[in-house]
Amino acid sequence: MPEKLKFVPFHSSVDSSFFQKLSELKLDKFKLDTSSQVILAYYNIKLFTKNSAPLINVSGTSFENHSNEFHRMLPGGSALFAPGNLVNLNTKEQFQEMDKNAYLQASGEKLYQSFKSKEVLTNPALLASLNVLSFSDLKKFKFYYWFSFPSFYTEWMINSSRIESAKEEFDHKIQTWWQTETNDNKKNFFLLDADNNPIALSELVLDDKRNDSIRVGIIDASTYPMIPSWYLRNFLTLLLYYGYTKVEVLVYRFNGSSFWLDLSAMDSSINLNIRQNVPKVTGWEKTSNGSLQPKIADLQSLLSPVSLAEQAV
Amino acid sequence: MNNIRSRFSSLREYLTPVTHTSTFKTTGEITPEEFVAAGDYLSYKFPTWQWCPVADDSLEKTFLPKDRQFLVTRKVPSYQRALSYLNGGAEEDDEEDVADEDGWTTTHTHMLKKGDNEKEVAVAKNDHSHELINDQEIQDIDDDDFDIEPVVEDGKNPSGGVVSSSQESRRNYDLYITYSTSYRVPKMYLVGFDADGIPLTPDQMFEDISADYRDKTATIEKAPFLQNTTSVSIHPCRHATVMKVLMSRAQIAAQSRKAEAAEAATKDITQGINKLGLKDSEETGGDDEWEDVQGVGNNKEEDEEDGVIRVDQYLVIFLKFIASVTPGIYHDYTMDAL
Repeated sequence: MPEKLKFVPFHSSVDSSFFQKLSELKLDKFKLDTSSQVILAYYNIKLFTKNSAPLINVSGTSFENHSNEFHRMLPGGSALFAPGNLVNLNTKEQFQEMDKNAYLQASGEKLYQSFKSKEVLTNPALLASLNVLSFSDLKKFKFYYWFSFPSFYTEWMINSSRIESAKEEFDHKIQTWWQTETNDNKKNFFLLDADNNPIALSELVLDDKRNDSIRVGIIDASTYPMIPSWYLRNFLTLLLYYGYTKVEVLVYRFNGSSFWLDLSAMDSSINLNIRQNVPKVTGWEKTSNGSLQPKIADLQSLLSPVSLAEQAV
Repeated sequence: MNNIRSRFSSLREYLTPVTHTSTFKTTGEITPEEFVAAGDYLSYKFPTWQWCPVADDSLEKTFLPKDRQFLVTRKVPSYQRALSYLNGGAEEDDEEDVADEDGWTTTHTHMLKKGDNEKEVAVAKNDHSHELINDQEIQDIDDDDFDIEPVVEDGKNPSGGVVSSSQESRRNYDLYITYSTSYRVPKMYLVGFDADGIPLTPDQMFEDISADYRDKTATIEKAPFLQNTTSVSIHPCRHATVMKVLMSRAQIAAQSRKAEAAEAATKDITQGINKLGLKDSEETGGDDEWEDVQGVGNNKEEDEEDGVIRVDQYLVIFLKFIASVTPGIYHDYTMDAL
């Protein structure tokens, strides 16, 4: 009995330096500007904790929006990057009243456009993109924020799955791939040749007539056994859009629990109409108690100079 | 006032000359070179620990290699607060006794009465209710969410489209180890996040420090190797002494192991001689065995001279010590995994 494919959603983790920088920018640069700001997040790919969700991190460096800045502060080869947008609103009311559904749908449509225009093939990191909606109460050092990871809803069944045990061989292949592919945006999503060597996604061509599986790979940031990270979802949608209904995926993990998934797209209307209609978009982050609501960071004691002075006794 | 103090301490950190003479056997202190060697060993044995450069040249410690400024392990889980370890802290008591012999002043442990515990629990509870109030403030947003719920439901929940990992009490810690010039030992910094990935306040982080150390050696400070990040550091003033104690304990353990090994070796030798007596033709084989036994014996003696613990194993032992300071933070899980 084939099983429906599941994904582990992203969890956000925000360094206090992110909020500090956001406060600075709000005062000096954004002011009342609520237009979308470009940011860059990173996710650890060398987590070893059991049953860990993929963690997307932002810090003060996120506003520099360049992966080189992160390379200067992260252990070598420990992270990959995700492009994002930040909308910082001016009042709590604005934050509450904003049409979040439409906002997410719009960012999904943008991603869908990049499938059409083939932009995504030269910038595959878009598949892991994110949005942050925020309101900063600068007087109280309180930040209301909500991450979303726009993701298309397409339906896939697992025909079979198996653990990949040749860790060293694949470690070596991924190393080689990263050495040839120096662009950080391209490192995570790739095609695989017959010898399991990664090839750039830009080689992907439209192919409606194909009967055998296309072989692809991702570098995974989750450590749940046999369940891939959230961003595989968009990758599969991309493949579906390009006409592939059978996919063999290598879900590569540095901790040695890599596995293969043999997948088929279901004959549902969403899947069949992929070229005509933008699939439903989902992806607002849930809080740790499972509810859909924004997070609140009360950072008085971390950021307020007065509190800091009081504590440092 | 505090500014002055922290400036003074960074000035001190800056002014203290770096020595390169190895003294770790006698003092428990290490040189920067030994720190790098120990860090290499740690990150090799336990790949969750990785060397990291500093983001800004002004933060750089010039006596350490550019790519080896500090060690980091990210998002280490903590499921329980240190408070819950207070009553059954047998392990900690053990640690304490040994430390006492070496003159560790334990002013707080035995004074920590039940009343204190209750007070601390109450504080923790208050924090929680505070969070609940926050939730209520944005209740209307929560209601709004039902508007987007259908989409999300479709996408996420049908037959478990996603894995939910609701672990509210779980926290994650980024742990950092740097080299402290003024104390010539490694220094530990903790930066915590709650289950929602929100930075923990210093008070919340203190909940994860064992009470014995919380009031004495845990300090709130900006992590000097990061930009704008408030952390809790474990003040290194007693590290050298503790490390010396731990190493001498390890030495005693190793010596008793050596004694056992020597006994076993004697048996081997006897067997070897027996063999020699029995079969002349295998003389060479017998010799080999002799040499082998002697070889092992020599190594053991050298080890003993080296203080049993090699300096590159220093950080592994240091982490064992830190585990007693932060009993709820599972940075040791790597050691189980391997």
